[in-house]
Amino acid sequence: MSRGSVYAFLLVAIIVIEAGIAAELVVHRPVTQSEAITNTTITNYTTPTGIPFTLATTPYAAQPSPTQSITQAAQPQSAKYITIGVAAPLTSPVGASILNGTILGVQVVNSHGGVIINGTHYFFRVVAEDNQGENVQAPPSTAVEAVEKLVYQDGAQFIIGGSAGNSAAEEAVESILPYLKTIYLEVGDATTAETLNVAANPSAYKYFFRVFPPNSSMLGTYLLEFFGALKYYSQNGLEDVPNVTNVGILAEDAAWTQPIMTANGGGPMSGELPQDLENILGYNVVYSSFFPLTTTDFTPYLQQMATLHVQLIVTLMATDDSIYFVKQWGTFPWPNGKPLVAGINVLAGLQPGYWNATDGLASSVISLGAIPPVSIIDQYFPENFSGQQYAYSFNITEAYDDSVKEFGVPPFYTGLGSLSAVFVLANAIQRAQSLNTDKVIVALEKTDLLTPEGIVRFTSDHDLNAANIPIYWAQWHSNGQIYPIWSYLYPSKIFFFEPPS
Amino acid sequence: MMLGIGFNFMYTTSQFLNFAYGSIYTLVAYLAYYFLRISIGVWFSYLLAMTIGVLLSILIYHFAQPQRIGSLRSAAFTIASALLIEGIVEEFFGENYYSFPLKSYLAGYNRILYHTIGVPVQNQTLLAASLSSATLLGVWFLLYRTKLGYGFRALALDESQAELVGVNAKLMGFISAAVGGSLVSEASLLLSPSGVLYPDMGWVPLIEAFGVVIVGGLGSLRGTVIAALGVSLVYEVVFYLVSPVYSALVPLALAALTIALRPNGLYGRLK
Repeated sequence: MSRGSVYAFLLVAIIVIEAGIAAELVVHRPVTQSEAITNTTITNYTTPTGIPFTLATTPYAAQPSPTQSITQAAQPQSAKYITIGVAAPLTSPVGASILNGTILGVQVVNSHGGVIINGTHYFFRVVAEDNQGENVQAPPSTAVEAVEKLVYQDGAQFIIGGSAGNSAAEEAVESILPYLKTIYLEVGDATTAETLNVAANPSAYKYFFRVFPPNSSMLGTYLLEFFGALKYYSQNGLEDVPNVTNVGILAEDAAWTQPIMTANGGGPMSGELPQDLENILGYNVVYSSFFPLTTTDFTPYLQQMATLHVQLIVTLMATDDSIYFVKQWGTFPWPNGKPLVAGINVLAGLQPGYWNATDGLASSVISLGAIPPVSIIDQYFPENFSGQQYAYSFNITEAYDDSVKEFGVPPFYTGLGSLSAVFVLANAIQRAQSLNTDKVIVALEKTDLLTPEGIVRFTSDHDLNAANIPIYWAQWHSNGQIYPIWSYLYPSKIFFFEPPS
Repeated sequence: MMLGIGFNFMYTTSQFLNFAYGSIYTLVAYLAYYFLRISIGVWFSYLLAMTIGVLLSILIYHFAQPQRIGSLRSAAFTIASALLIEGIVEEFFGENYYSFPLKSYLAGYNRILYHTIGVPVQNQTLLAASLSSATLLGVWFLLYRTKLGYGFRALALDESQAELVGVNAKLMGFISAAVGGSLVSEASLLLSPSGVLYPDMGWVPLIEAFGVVIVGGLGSLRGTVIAALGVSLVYEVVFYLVSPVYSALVPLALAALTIALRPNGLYGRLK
């Protein structure tokens, strides 16, 4: 083998790998300093009433592999079809939940006769492609190719897609939507950059809609609201919440974390999370660090936090790094007692996968956005959308129960989003009375629909209006079950808190 | 380091760049997990998984011998094999994140070390470090104290001359694939227990090993060892003094720098 050919081969390989990393870096912004924040939305909390803690637990079956087949209810032979393409990381539970949620939504819509356009019934069917969204090594072009294949090869007319935290991939997909001219309903990623693009260039990016979750700026607000409640409870010695003063923040180096950590997010708090925790809530933020997405050894970070006597670790993690982190946090020899872990820990919503993957070390880990057993939600955090009917009479309880029945596991947050996205799409097509993209876009913009995730409305930049989206904070307990402990809809209540042991 | 040595070993002795290395790493981990779950015994599970890893490495080499099909086609075949293996793992094991079952005394951090010198080190990391050092000594012994090792080194120096003096290059190629397979299997069994299993888990170690090999020099095992230690040192310096975020770029940044400034690497001997 000649030296020249080896050089050429290695150079090509290095360039390809570096280009992939560079693409990821392009959308990352470094943490910058910002001014102190003076406004506050934290209110005083009233003492909660004493409510007995009795509840039933739901045993879970083993998770089967999701299907990728075309799904349809019993339809007449002459039925017309609308093809929904699902672009998701099918090799991970995150993407599997997106596909499962879409399939479930399609089954519900089809069982109600599908969508009626000018007297003709149209039924949904699903095709799926793997966008490698959870593979941090995969370049964003993989996600682009998946969407292109869905549209050009698989005949998808609408796309439901996303991942949990691969902002580079989502932005890359958004960049081709003006050429594909296909509506893309995004679930999973919270990056504000996508909807900022819609605001900046609506004619080009009008095809993009974020269905779930609320964007990163709102996530920052949710974090502050919960930690405010935690502070109140700890100061008053309520519900075994430990008294926490020293806080450490550990955030993935990804685009979705930037609006939470920096002043450029533009959300209601518009500040850095570290400064907000200090100035508004009175915590002492002694440690704050980003870490690369490929991190598997968190020992140096844990060591630094142990040295600084961190009592609460705020996590912003959306990929499998959280599993590594929790396993190491759970066994680290903390000299001053194990700190509480709370924050956005996306995979912590996987039930029971996260518990198994962390060998049970996830006990006491708190995360935003997990979907706890609906029996507990119904009893302690009843959803209140009086005056509005659920689309297809399908609420979160049915979403949860049907998901367990059909797929063996409760929906992940992405699954709840994709299920809601199907209802939103069906509703928009029905109102538009057309499959014409521009007409459906106009209809989508006027969406006001109660879905399993809550009331879906879109802002002018096609972002999810989070005003009526119930978000739960949930905690894993030592019995291997997850419990809701707080929701901003009921700010005076913290339930089922279990301190770390 | 072990991955780098195995990767380099195969190249040194038979000019075989095996990009399926990472997938073999993944498959061995999953197989060991599966065998442990069906309770056929810890040692037997590890041995069986490792044997399959070695056989797979030999099989890939058999179809991708660079002397037979050319080096570019060989590398392309290994990449295709990597994707195939990954696909099979995904299909068979599904999408869940699996945690490798560990004996309780191996789980977590070594408290004795922590309480005596204040440095937290995971027990599994200590085991990996000690076993990989022993393996390194074993590889050195194989190369420098055995007839087989003389043959490998002769092939590394000049294949045609080595064949003239009776070294069976084809057989040595298969043996080097077996050695490489055993090294990657051992690395997988040592590192996987402290982490989580997912289908594309092999790419990160492969890329880091590739970076280390480039820095150390293709064709030089000494270079790989020194580069592994050096890259780790630079990684820690960047982590603590610059930013944890940039530390992830260290292996490939150093590799790119090496190619630009010293294409052969620290001790490499490209043909």
